[in-house]
Amino acid sequence: MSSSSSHTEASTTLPSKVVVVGASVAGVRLCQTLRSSGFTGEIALVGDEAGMPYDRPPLSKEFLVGERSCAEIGLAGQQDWAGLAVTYHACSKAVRLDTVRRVVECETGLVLAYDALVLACGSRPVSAPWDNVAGVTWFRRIEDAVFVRDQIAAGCDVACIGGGFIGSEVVSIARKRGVDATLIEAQPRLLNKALGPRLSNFIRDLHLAAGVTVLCNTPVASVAEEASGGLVVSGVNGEQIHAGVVVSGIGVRPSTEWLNSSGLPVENGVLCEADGSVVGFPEIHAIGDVAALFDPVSHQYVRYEHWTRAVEVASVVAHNIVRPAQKTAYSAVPFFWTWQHGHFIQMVGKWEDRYEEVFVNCRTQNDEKLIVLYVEADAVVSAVAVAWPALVPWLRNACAKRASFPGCVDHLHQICRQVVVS
Amino acid sequence: MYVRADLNKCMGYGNCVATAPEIFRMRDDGKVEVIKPAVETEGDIAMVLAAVRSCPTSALSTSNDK
Repeated sequence: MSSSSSHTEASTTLPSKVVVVGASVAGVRLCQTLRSSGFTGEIALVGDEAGMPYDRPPLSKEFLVGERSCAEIGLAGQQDWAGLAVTYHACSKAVRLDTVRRVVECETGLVLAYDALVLACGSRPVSAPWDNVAGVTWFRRIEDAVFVRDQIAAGCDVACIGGGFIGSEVVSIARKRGVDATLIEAQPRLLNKALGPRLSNFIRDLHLAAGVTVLCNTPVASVAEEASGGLVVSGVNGEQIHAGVVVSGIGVRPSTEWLNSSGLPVENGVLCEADGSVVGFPEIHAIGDVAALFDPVSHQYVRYEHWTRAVEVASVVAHNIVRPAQKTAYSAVPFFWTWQHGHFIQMVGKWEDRYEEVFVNCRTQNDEKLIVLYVEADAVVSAVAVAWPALVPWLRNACAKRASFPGCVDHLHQICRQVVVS
Repeated sequence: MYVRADLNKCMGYGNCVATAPEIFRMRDDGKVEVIKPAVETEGDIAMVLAAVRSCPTSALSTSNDK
């Protein structure tokens, strides 16, 4: 970790003007935590979208199925905004950062000076040759979700290119709404970067049981409009998938292009110390998808696209801005969730190829539950609970302290009527 | 300060339990239980506010009255 005496000196001065780039959950939670921690200076929040800041996870879940409206996924209510005293600049895409003059320039010509800057500008979907075909969409912003929701409501069949979480959740909702859905993945299995092979197959089977067509080992060659008005996705092996709407969800990249001329250390994300400050720039912090935080355990800069981490790092960084003399470092076990065909799947920690993947089928008083433990050297390092949120606090503790695998199985024996380990 | 949970909104994500284990507990049905609804110390208040912000379904709220 790099630090120098001049940095320390600069970073113990309380800023009077904070600029936050990115009206994301990370950006908004940071503003809220600054205020609840007693910060009374100016806060400017810059976002490149039109409306008030909203929460993204529901877009591919409750919002897509129609259970929650635009108003219901807002990140703060109108009263909250009034109390926060944040100047929010919508439709303002940040295009340049000058760390010497300490200003952020936006595409609109807006120039904002800062004492402390927080980068919460998130990530953007990976582009593909078919992005500009009419009827093909990314799934990142609220207008993308509105488009897909309306197409599904009009009876359009859905094809998702990319068998990650976005694609898996969108086809799951599409089936719930009664349209045909196809999931197209270039790799041999779904969710291949996030989950082990057995759990990945378990989710594939959920898709198949719900009537989703799952095509793995199917890189896409092209997407074309058909004379009939629909779309046809062509796989490199000659597959042809017909759909009314196509979602391209092949991953995201941190939104760092605008920082290219800034001199900030950017690799896969903006490189930060464990306290969230950008390496070499103590007056600048990064949070959310765009931040690659130094992990003292692995000695690497790690970046996650997790909602919970975005919120937690925002809280740590707000604290560090307000109390620069008592900076704290962020450390927590990763945590995320997904909904697949009505199954609530929560994961603690992350999956690595070298971990052993153990299924633990538990019969409780009322029903059957599935827990997946990822084990390294007899220690539980990560875990997944399927439809069993009540167990997750215990799993979080177990993974945080790398609890012994036999000890974890013993505990499950104690709380369940029957436990089968496989 | 008092904290309450809207069980119609709670989906059992458990972020509040991880953030403030002395204030919240997960029930067997996967919903949260507020075990200490009245929070007084500065430390507890900061922890509860962090828990409120960490709820993915905005199920937690605080007020000055019971």
